[in-house]
Amino acid sequence: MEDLFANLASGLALALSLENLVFLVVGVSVGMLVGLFPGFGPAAGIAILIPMTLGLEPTTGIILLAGIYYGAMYGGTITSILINTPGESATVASTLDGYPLAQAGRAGPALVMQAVASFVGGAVGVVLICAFAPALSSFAASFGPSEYFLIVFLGLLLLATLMGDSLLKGIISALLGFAISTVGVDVISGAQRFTFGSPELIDGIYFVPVAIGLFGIGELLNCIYTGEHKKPAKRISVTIFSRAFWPRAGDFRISRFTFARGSLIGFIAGVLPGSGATIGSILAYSVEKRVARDPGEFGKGDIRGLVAPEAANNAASAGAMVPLISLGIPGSGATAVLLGALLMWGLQPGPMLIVDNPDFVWALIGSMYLGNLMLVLMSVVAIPLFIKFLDVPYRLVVPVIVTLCIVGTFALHSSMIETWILLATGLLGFGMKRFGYSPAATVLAVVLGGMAENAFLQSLLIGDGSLRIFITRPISLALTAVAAAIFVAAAVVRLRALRR
Amino acid sequence: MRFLFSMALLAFSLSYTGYALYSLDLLDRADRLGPGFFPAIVGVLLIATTAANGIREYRRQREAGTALDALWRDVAEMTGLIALFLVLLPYAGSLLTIFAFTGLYLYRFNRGRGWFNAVYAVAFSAAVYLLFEVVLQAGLPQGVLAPLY
Repeated sequence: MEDLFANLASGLALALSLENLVFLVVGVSVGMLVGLFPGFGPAAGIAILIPMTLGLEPTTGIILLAGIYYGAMYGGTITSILINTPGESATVASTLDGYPLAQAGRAGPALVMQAVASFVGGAVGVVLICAFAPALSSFAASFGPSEYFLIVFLGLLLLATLMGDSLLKGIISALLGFAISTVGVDVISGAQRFTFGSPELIDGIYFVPVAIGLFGIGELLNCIYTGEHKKPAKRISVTIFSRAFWPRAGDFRISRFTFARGSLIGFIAGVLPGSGATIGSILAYSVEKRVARDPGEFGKGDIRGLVAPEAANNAASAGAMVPLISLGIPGSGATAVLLGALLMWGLQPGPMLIVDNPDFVWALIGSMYLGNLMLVLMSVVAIPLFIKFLDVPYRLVVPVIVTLCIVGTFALHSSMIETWILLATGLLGFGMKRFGYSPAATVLAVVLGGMAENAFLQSLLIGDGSLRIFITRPISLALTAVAAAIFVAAAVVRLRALRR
Repeated sequence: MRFLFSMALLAFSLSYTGYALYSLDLLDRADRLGPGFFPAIVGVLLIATTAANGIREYRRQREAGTALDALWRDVAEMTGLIALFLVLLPYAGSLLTIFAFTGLYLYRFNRGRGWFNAVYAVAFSAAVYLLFEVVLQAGLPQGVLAPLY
């Protein structure tokens, strides 16, 4: 326990250096803006800004990118409350009671309560990271290739089951990612695969153009398809100097247990690979409604219906860092992009990350405390300023997004092929988004494809070509059983839906 | 479009698997797992799942019809503009390309505001140039303006 506090203190000290603090402010501010624009999630924001972190120290870079990640959760709720348009999928549940509150003239209290709930969720999540990440790292040190393959498989299966229209489309999405990850030199035999003689493809298809394409260009084309570029700007004004802006004591009293429940549910959802903030926030809302004595008030502007998903989505953002830091396995599209950034800086996420680079890990955790603190202040004091950005029509933002996507991709390796990959995956991402596939599963599979293939082949080599290795080791057996249970449960749900 | 997209995925799956089986060995000379083993597994699973998905989407299309939305045209035009950006970039250089892309985009999607669009295109391309070339020194293509650098 003493070690924990000492590590956290050193992490906070590192995060408090002037350079890290400046980039933390930049990260959380960009995150809030990313969250404000509908359809433009944290994964796209992180992916687009990765090229700009190339010249930074890895610790400063991850502080900037993680700031965007959890900052987007705060920003996404502002539009959910004010204009009934979630800026981010994880804030969809916040519209259910957030918008009715705004319509009832309680936009100010709703905005303040969401900021406080987000802070509580984020802070609880960070405390739980401190407790779980080192323990999970020690446990994972005994994992072999079969366990690693099964964890990747489990994460993709969960993502495929929970996201997208159907399990089949989720599986297709993940397989597409695996297919992309097989391009380049095979690490075992040294043979070139799918390079078509191009020297630029020998190192494989880099994940950043794919992530920017699927999330950035894909989302942009989808926004154009839904007519965002034709809609007029939404002029809204809020002042913090009015008494009506601030919540009443009763708002805090009625939701005092909601903060705790939402945070806990969100954190658990975040830790499970593939589940994440969207599922966490919806689950927290449902549980809150179920335990309430007056569930009929939900959906009509009940403050608990806003606090629960807000605490949950921020706790889930922190929770998703646990498998990323301790196992090297991201649980969502955004954390998959963060994982790719770690690899780009030469860091190997996994059980040894916290042992080999303690400063890096603890500075990241420390920065999350500070970032949440900054965000709660910004969410309250600077809300009128951030709302001003909603005055800019989406059609004027489009050239900025396209240029940042293309220039950012080109700046990585000065490669024109990568910019064309960006366009191709952008079109793929648009189709996937429109027709119910899961771009997040594709990115996760691209990032983890190499690791999954190596772990799978190593497992078969150790097991003399037999798949029995996946059920003979105790942890492998447990993971296989969980995967089988998820698959069967998804099939049963589908069959029941068909019968109806 | 839904069905066409699923057919495109099936076509990709067939090409990927065919190329993998044609160009890569499943086992190496020592009878160990070769470079084509994992792609073959991925490819076969892709064909099976995209084919099943294609049948499902075909049935769904027959029930729902195939009406195309007017906004597909905007998406196609936007894709064309992005492709033009990529074609121009190595030849015209980043500064001129960003100016041309922004100008054309605003001419199409922000009509009737000529002066505003012109000022926006100039200011935005100059800002990107300053950020990426001067501050971040990203080494963007100079194109026809190379003699001036």
